[in-house]
Amino acid sequence: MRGAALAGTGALVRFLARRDRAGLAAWAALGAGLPVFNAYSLGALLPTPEAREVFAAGSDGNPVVAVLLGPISDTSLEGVVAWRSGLQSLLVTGVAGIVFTVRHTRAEEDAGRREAVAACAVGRHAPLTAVLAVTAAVNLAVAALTAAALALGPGFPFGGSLLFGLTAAAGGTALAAAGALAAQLAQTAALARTLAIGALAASLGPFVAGARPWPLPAEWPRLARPYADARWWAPLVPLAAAAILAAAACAVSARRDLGSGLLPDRAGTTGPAAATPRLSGPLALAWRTSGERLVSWAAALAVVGAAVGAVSVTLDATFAESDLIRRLLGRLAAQSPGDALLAIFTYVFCLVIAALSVVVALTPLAEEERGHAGAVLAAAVSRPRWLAAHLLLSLAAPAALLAVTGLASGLAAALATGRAAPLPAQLAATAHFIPAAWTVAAVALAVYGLRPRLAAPAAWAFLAVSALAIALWEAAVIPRAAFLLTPFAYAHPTITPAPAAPLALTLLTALLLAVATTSFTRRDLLT
Amino acid sequence: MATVISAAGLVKTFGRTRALDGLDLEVAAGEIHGYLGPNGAGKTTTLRVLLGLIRPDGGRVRLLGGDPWRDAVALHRRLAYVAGDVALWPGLTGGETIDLLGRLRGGLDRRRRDELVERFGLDPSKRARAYSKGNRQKVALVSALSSRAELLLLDEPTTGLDPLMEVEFRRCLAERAREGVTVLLSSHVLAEVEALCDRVSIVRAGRVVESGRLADLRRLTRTTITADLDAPPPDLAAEPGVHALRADGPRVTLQADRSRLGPILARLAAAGVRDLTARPPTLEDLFLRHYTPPADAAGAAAAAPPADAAAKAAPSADAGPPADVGSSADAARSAGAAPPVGGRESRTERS
Repeated sequence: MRGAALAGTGALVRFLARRDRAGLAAWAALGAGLPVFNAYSLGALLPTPEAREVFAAGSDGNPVVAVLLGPISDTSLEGVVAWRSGLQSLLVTGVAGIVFTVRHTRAEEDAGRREAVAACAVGRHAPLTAVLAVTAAVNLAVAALTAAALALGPGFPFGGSLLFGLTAAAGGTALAAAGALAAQLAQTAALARTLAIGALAASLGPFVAGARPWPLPAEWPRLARPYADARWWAPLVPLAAAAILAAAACAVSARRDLGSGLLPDRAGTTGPAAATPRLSGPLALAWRTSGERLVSWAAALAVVGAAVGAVSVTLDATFAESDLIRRLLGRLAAQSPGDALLAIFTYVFCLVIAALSVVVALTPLAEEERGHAGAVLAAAVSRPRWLAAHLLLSLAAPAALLAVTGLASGLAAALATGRAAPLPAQLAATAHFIPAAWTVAAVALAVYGLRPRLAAPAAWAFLAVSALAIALWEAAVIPRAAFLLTPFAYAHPTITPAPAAPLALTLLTALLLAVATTSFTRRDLLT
Repeated sequence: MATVISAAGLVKTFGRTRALDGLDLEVAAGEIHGYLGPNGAGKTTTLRVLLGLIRPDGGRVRLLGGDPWRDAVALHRRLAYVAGDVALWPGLTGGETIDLLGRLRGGLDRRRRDELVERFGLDPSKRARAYSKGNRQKVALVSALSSRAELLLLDEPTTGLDPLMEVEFRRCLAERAREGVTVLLSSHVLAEVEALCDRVSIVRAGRVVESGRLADLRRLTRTTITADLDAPPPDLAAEPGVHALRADGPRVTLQADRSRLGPILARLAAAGVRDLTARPPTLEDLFLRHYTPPADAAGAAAAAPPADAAAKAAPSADAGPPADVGSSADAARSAGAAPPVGGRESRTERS
């Protein structure tokens, strides 16, 4: 009986590894690459024990870092690298694992392919087992690669590096198992991802309140102390979480009907029998199909933005004397430590919104691949008109999301401090970023018009390179002049804004959108 | 009669695949034109060219007096299309989708829309993701049939419909045709085409290999005769006009050229007829003739390949007539010159 429930697992494992080989390789490379990158950049930045002591004191004074990463307990270079990289590695392996498990469980079910697989000689538990087995294998590869790279590259002790890698691998697998459970509970893939990522974000709650409970993910990386007293039991904590979550996912999977979930489908299966007069053009259609998503993003950004804005008051009082803040204050044209930190956070929000802009800009591609574009264009709708609806959304979405973030964070900061100044400052800062977000969206759309099959990889690569440039410039790897050529540079909080840059990016956006329209009008439709 | 669709020498390649290879197609105003061919023959590609969704690499094409690529929007106001693979927005209900597509086309007949929803037994308040394949097809059909279009482009429109709904579809299409609507019906449901269509075009490997009125195509081909005889006549195979002869004891099955029917029947009568059926060629006979490679026809093939595979495997070894078929007269001539074997008969021969 047990054997029957797992029949076909091996074949499915090979299939998953084959189907997503590029993505799995990127996951392993990124998971192992970040700690190595940190080892080199922190080694260059903090070569001496004294520098690291100062850095540790400064980090303790940085509330965001203190919340997310906790205090530095081991000020050796290895210790600082492990401290800095632990959460990163957990998030890389964990988010990749969540996306991967949902993609191969609920998304397959949504698409009707799970049914085709289930009709074969494949056991009830096989698909879920196969996904989790591949996830665990990739994470083990991350652990092995991390240990080897840290030992061979910067010459860290192999044992500690292996423990560090194993902790991240176990943590990532536990988050993937949470994704697997969410995929069993939710009735759509989108809801499953939201549920899993949302639960991960919510688990940070106690840390903001000042506690560090060890069963929660953000504390897992801190349990091992790989380069100090090396607690080899530490990976067992996330491993136990992984086992419990995976068992729960299997239990739900074994009891439910195919296509069902425990949580109801938000939209329901019925609706109006006729269209309202408003639903009569490509723009109304685009809003109808993706508007809900934009509204929920805006709501989430408003809540998080307001929370961060309100926190800035307490920073004024607590961290005014902190070394890090004083250094940041020197570089930022900010009035108070709170303003400085808020500016840094706002920039991070802007980068997140840039990524969301890419998602919106790739919507016409998805519509074309699903055959929806063909259905509309076979009616009396011209190509420029259809594309214009999506161009408009691609421009309006980042502008609206940035405005909401600026308004919510600025208003909350103003209310909390009793000063009016943060509101216009935040609105200006987020508005300042709009041309940068437009540029990444326009790049995606231009490539979509020219070579639709390349649009998604090109757009994400452009975003990744632009974001990486920030890190490289901050680590003094690339010169300021090179950084200034990337779209996010001029909005960086430590760079004095020059009005020419946003203007140039706006013009570039217009040019790219013209390219998108003319090329889309001339080419064959995909499906 | 005015020509609604006119394509000549259409060529479209996708990478190394030549989807359309000098395709000619004429559809006259007011007719229901059957467009037949196996999967991969180029039917959908033709329709996508006619809709201006893709641009041909060569050839000439006119639709309703305009250029499908350049005048797409103006032309699409006058036509309605049902895709072979109906793609609906999962979050929209069937009713919303029907209305939306109708509005995007430039309006739909409200009363007819409600009537068709009723006739097809469609629940318009369900979201598209909850529909079965047949119901998705109904959404697309109701939307297209309730338009005020003068041309309907239908790509395998009855896939997934149950037999009752298929009958309803035929009725609706006949009604539209009586109103003067022109229909290009791509299909491989031969009974449907036989029941509905005035003229048919058969496409193979990107070319139309046969085109004309169904009655004309029939007249120029052979009648299948099955007879139970007292004693099978000797050397019947040598009789002029007899093809694909198969003798099974006292029972003979053969195909007879229409011009030689009299003498052949006389030979059979002389052998003492106990029972006899004569059957005109079905559309299936006409269709399969173009998809049976010579090896199969000779009975030498080890296994009968599926029609489309055969067409791909032996694109040059043409069992059918030459493909430069412009008019129905040409088609008829070449049909008469075709090799004398029907695919179905050749298969029974081996079994």
